[in-house]
Amino acid sequence: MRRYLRLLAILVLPVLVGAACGSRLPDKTLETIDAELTGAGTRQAGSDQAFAPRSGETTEVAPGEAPAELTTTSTTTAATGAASAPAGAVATNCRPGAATSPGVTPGEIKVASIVTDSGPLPGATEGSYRGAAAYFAMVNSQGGVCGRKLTLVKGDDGLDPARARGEFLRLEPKVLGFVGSYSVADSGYVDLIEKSKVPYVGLPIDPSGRRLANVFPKTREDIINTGPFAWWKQQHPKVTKAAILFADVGGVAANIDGTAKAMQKAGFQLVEPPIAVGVADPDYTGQVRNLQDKGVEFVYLFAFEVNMHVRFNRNMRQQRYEPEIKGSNVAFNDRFSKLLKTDGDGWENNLAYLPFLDPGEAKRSKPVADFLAWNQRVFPGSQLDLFNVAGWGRAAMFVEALRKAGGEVNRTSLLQSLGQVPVYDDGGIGVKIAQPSGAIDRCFVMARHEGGSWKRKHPANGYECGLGETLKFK
Amino acid sequence: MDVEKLFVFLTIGVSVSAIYAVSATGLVVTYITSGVFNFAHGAIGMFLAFVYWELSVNQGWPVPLALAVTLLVIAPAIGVALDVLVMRRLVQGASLATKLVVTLALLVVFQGAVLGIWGVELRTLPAFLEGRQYSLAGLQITYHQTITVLAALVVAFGLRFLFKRTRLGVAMRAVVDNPELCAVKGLSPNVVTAASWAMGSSLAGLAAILIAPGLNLEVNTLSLLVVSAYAAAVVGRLQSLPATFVGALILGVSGELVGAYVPAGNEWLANLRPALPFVLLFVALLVRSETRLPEKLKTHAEPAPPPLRTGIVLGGLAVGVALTVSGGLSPFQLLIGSKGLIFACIVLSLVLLTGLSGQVSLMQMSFVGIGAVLVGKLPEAFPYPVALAVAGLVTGLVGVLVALPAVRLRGIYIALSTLAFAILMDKIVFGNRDVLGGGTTLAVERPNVFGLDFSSERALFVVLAVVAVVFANLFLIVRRSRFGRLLTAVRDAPNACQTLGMDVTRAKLKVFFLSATMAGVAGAFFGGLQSRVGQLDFLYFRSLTVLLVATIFGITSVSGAFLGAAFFVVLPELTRNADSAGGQALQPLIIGLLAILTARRPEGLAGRLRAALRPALRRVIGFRPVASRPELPIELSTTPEIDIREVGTVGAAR
Repeated sequence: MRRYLRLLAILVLPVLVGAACGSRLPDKTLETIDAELTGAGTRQAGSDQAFAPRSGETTEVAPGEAPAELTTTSTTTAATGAASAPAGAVATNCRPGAATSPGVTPGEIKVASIVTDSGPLPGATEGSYRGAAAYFAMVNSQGGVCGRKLTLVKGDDGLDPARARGEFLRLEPKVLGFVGSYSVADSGYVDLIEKSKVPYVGLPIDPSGRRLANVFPKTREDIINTGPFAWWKQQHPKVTKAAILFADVGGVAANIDGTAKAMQKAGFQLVEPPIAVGVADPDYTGQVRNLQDKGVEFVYLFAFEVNMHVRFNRNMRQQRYEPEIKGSNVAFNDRFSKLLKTDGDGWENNLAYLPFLDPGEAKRSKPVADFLAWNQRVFPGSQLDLFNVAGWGRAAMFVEALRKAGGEVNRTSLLQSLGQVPVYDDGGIGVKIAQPSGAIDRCFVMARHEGGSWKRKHPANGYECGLGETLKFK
Repeated sequence: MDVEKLFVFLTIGVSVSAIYAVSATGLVVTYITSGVFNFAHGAIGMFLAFVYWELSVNQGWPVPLALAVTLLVIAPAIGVALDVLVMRRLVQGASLATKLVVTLALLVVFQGAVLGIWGVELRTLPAFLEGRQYSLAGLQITYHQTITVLAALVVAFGLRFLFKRTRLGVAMRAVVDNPELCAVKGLSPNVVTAASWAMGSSLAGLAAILIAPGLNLEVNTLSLLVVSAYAAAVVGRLQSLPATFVGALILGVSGELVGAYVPAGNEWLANLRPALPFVLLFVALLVRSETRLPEKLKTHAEPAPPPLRTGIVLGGLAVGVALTVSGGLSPFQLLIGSKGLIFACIVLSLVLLTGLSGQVSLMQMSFVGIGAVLVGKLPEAFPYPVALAVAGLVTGLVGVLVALPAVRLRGIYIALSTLAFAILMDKIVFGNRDVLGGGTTLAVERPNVFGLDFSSERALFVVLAVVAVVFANLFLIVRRSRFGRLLTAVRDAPNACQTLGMDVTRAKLKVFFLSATMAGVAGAFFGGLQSRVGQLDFLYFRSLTVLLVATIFGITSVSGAFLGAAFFVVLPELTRNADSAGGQALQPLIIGLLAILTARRPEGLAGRLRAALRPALRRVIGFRPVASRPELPIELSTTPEIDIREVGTVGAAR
């Protein structure tokens, strides 16, 4: 018996050890992942970050299932995910070229992302960097682009325009371009974007930055899709009185007009002009009572960061104020669900992207499955919100242009390629925005917070594209 | 008038008032008992709220136990530690600037500590009797809100009883005026002050724990909510707790009424509501009657200013070095250098105001902003030198406007009036689209003189080097002048100056004008460096950082200003590679701790460096500064004044 057990051990143990060792990632990969995952999974401004793939892994979808094809109806458009990196696809005629540009070597392409991560609004837009970094990790796992790995360097503006400017000047000479930047303080360097002509695939907060020739994707600031409001009107035909409350911070007030007009176009009546709400107000009961007294049945919160939203929601519940429609445009993030749980039920969010926080969406859409898998893999447990989507999408556009530019890429060829990308769709997660016109699809998804989490409300799949209109409000 | 609506908003106002009252009460208690206006009061409370969260939510302790441990064990321990380790060593007998800087430093230290321990993740704190509420005239009021109001009342009247009817309370008030007399009466001043700080900490913690369920556990919001309560404290003259409560009522109710009745749609009016606490603070300061505060003053050694010729020669050398090295610097390095030079100019303006004349300003960045915005708003047809002059002069006049209430005020009230003005500027001016040309930021041109374009990074760097040298020499000229000596006398012995017939009011107005002009000119260049400026550039807490950094390196000298500027621009680079949460904690911790360590030495780290280099300087350039005078603990105070009405009758009962 003893001899038998010894034999068993001799046979089984090597198998176990071999399996363990065989599944162990290379030390260098582990070190990279460990370094990236310490400090809640984020790296600091200025540190290079190469996302080495975990060997042998590919994008995961629910085991045993392929992502379901999206159905197409007369009012929906399938989200095809065409812009996401096709699995294993590397341009076959694309070999790494010489180092022809800052940030380009035979083995690596380095780009930067400036976000607001520290200062009075810590972590405010850091999700954009994470989204881009996760996308690059996915691409690197498939061999990179033209044999080059993609490296993303993070810059942090500390919510200080002077510091933002310093970050730009520090990073610009070292990188091919900027990807996934989302800096609240970018007024500090928006003139440098123009002067340097560096490819900037991000979202300038300062309006003067959005019109620059080297900023992508092109968006328009004078149009808005009235579809979500038309849907709300369709669902609640008797509701007329509405109010918009917006966070009284930064440039939010400058962006509210479109929403106000879209709401009115859909048939709602604003009881008063959009109401500014203080970020640090200790209590919002006054605003809530004001809405109650005016008989507002449709409350729309514009650019309320999650802390404000939680507090406002609490005051609404306290006053037992439950308007028929509770809408917002930023609350779609998992932190909202973690903080409010079922107390947040009833809020609806009009999205220009697929509702990735709906647990079923990953099965419906491969781009969403990729988005979730890679964000979780590279930054486990970190918040997912529209900033991640923005970063992911811009990284996708960058990679598409990079592939077009080929092996001998430099800033000029990259800019040309970026200008030739026909459509921007957040890496397959968002509605299509025609390039370079910036014309938007009349599409949206409505998500609703139910049972303590966000769920897709309408349509059942894909986007709703048959309601409302593209309204020119400026 | 809709009476029901009025009642509803009055009720909401009372609920909000309780929050302000609890915040302000603790502040007043600390001031009454220690003579220190504790800018870190909110931050201490914020720290204790996190501790309470850790115990009650994260560790799952029963709420009463967590509350008791937090407020009755940890909070007093923190208070006693602050008293023993910081206040006694640094603050007793120190100037107002020192006390203020130390408490500001503590504010950033506590914020840094929370960031380092708990990170940036947003957390919620359950309310007391969560979910339970009742209806009052159609308004739903939670039990937690009721507890807050009751707590505010209990605290206000309980403390009034303590200070007027108990031996300890009287001793707490007496020890501020005359600790020796307290000791004679058998009361250990150290024990009494320790008890005061312990109580103050507990009150700060109580306020934060009551407020946090509504605001959520967020570092900046909780730390700085108490700033809104300053108006309530000033209405109470930093002495009367019931009056403080009345001030809080005015604050809370007026805010709700403004929100209810001021029509939306007008940006100026829309900004009025968040600005209201600071409008009230400003008004309260304007109308308050000055209480005669005993002034304990210390003269301190200042570096003797070098001769004008030395200043010019050194300045010329500095510009030459700037011109030479700039050719080999990258745009990023040139930007860092330029930021440092502008910051040095800003600090010099503060050195003139605070270092030389003792007028503490918490709004220097607001002056910078005014200058930047003015240059941005002026038509391009204006020649740049003219735009610069306009920016400087107009900002100077604004400085005089701010100084007008200041000339009636002393000590902490000047600082508070500048703080109120800074916050008003943030909320009403710098965030206003009409001011910013319809957008969120305003374009500001770079220097363009006689057709010479200085818009390149290198050219601007050299121009700023020249400007900084000019600022430095101007400061030295003022210091050497009769006006400079007057300012020093006003700082060290204002009562004596008035007795001697010197025009103290005029001196204060002039120095505010000069300081604001300098800051405005610096602002013009700051705007040019940035190319675009907006609200984010001039937030009031940036002025606090300017003051802290100036103090660390020396609030009385040119070298301190330049060293402080260098530190300010280099520190973010040094902490760049720190861990995410640690990095965010590291900068405030470093600044705060350095400020505490150097607060009692107005000459700062620059002074220490000068002392260390003095022998070498003497050998090299024959520099022989006046031998530094030992600190003279001369107390040029008026007769200690105790307001008889405030002394309890405990002693009389014996």
